[in-house]
Amino acid sequence: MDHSILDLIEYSLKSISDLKYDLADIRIEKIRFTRIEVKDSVVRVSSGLDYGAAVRVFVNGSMGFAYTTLLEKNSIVNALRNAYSMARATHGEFPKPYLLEPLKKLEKHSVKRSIVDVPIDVKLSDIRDLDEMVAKEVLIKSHTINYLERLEEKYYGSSEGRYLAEKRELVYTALLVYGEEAGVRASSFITEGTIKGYSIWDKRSQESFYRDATRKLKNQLTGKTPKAGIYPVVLGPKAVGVFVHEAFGHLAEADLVVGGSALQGKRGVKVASELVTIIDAPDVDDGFGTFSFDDEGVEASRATIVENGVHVGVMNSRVYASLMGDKPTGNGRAESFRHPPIVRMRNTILLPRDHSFEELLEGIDFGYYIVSTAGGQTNLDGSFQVGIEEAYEIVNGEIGSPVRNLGITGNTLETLKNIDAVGKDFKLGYGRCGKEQLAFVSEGGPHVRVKRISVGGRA
Amino acid sequence: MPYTNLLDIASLAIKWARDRGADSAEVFVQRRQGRRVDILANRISDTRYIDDVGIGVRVALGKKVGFSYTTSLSPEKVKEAIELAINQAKVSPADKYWEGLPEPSTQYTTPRDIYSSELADIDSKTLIDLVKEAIDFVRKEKNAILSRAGTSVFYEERAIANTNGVEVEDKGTHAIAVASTIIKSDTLTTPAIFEYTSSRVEKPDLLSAVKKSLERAKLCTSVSKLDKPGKYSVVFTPKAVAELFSSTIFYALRGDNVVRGRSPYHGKIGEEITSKYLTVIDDGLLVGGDNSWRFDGEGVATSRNVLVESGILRNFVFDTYWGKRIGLESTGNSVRRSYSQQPQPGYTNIVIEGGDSSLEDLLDGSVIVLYNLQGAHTANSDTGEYSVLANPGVIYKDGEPRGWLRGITVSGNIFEEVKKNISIVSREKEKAFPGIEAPWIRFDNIVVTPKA
Repeated sequence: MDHSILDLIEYSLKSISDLKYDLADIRIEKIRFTRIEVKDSVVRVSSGLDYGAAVRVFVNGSMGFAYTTLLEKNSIVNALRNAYSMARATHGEFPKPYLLEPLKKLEKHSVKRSIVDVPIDVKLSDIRDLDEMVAKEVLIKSHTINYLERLEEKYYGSSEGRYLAEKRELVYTALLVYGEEAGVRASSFITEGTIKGYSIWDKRSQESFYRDATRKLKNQLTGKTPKAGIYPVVLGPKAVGVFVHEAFGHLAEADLVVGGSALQGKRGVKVASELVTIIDAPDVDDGFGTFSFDDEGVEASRATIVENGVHVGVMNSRVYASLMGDKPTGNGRAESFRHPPIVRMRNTILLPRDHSFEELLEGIDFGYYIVSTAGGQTNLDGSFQVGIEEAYEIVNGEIGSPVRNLGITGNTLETLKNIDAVGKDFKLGYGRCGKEQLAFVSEGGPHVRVKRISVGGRA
Repeated sequence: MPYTNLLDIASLAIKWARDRGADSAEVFVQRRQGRRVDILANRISDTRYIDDVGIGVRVALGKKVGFSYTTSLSPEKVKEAIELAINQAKVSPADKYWEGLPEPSTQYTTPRDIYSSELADIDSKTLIDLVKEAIDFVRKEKNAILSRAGTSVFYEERAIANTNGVEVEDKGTHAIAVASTIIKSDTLTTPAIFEYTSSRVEKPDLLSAVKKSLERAKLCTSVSKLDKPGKYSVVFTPKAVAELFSSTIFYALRGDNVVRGRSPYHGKIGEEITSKYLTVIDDGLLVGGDNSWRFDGEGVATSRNVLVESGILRNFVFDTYWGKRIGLESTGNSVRRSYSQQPQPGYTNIVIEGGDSSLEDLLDGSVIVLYNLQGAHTANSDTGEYSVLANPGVIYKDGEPRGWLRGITVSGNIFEEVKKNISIVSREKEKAFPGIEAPWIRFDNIVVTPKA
């Protein structure tokens, strides 16, 4: 890590000591990334050196934000002065941000083998192994492999006297395949991620990418069309992850709670079946949302959102911690120095209980087993729509035929109340969430049974 | 406002890339400077100032291609990016389809109304006043909350040079306003409906976006019920059209998807792919268009291309690479929003032409109007199948709104429905999102399922 950056931050903050404000902070990021994209065996390698400084000044109940891509004192001070004068002119109505004690700390996440130490031709060769496997599959008409690696160095300094730095590596890989058979078209998508250096293929082998993508594709090409209606559903860990993130998690982000989400005013109220405990944790092993400090220089700590069915807390940032009278959870995250941190999820998880998968299926005469989703969306009122990528019928307690192009809709809180069994397994998923800004997040859980979900058919 | 000539930097970087051994090179330099004010729950949440400059470098060694970008324009950083791009090209396998960078276009037309010096020099106070006016307006409305809104103005300069002699530069300004208003009473919260306005030369019109969003929220303060699932006449508002078409029709009209066999429209030029009521144009020269520039993301002159003409497929959008892969020229549709992006085929300004009917005609009889679709991006791009939540859908009887149909789902196959189910297209068009203008479209016999 580059200690001179912390000096640059301290020096820049000193040069606005003539101004009066509640909090000023500077975040400098040095992100170096490489992307390898393979589209139908055509390979493209690209990279970026994404360096910049973001500053915030809190004054008069508002926040001024500015950024510059020029990492030198003059540009940073100019940004600070711009942020200050815009905030001062605003007369906002937000409380002072939650202030913290001075602290100096440098964090480096340990990795098995750093991405920096692996030559690019080795990475290319590993990706081409997967490419060759996929290219041979007759069912697959077209495919894309994306490999992204990021070396993140983040530096933070504030007028409170906090000087922090954190370094981590992140690798994200996705395979998208597309097929066509007898006039039916379909695609499937497999992702994997790690923050433990160059270990992605140990975590999920090329064979596993290939096998899972092909199975999903085949199911969709040959699957039955679902029957519209209300059915019992067993959700797999991937689907549970997407549900707790998309359908539920956003409702528990402090800014959206204040903005009128379905969880507004529900603190202490039973919002889910007592089998449900949902947390957002920054300390999950190998999660995309695993870090020590958020982008506001706050120690990341666990946010328990639902405990045994009762809504107990929300995810917040410094300002929303003040506004709602809570302790800061360290959920202030920014896509890059180009954006101010907002309340974001990290690793959002529904905690496992004690049922086996077979037990979850027992007693279902007819229903659906939803393995993975294809994107979703939620509204502040708690309504959700989730597209389904891989699903099967459940007939007399057994997994039956694959189903294609299923969609589920409903209301999140109603759905959480309808959970009547929670499995004992667990799996973490990796993705990027877009709430104005992209954030690398993880989400997961066990298998879960829901008594009734509205399944959309295509009449 | 320009502090350094971006084209000079681009030309210099081309020389450096050549010196380092690149057979061909392309440099895209972009600078953006601007301000933005955001609202959250009736309050100003933050104000922003941005000063962003960077450079993207694409190089080729024979048929091996590399790309890198860096922030700042310091010679050291630019040279490091060039070095990275060249090293990547060296280790990459040859791309047999690579046929080189574009030549300079014979003529470049400057679109009208894309730059205003007043906008370029706008101060924070002007923006803050606009935002305060919008907040005051909403506070006077009972139970209304401006849940999310904002406005931004920025100045943008771009320059492109390549080893074939392309050397072009352009500048523009942008003003954007977005607003989502909800009405929250003890018994009901209306869904968040985002509305936009944008201009290249006029001050941002936040108040119009707020008013429109509020007007639509008010439609949802009374609730109605759909008795049973079935086939109904449905009106897609411009925004709903844009939402559903983006992941389906617009996906299928993109050259790269056509070449990759991902488009159902592959090989169908000259054939009828939609109802005769639909005409879809991509217009890079649209007067005041959100994405109008003299040249596209790789320095090819922009132009107006009719993609679908009264239902007949006329053309796709291509950049140089994907065009050349099937022996065609670029249509001036290489999209590059930022120096950090590699060029790829995409749209400039999409215009879906209006029809000859009034809004009254569209709302005749009993019809469900979809103001906003939730989950439209989950529509299947390959097949056109979709199942989305209308949030909100509002039922109209004889032109009068009769309440919000909570939680209704609309499903079908849009590739089929644009052929067979379109009955009326409005004269009136609206900017659905920055870069997409569309009319209101009535579809008959669309499957609508009430909330479970």
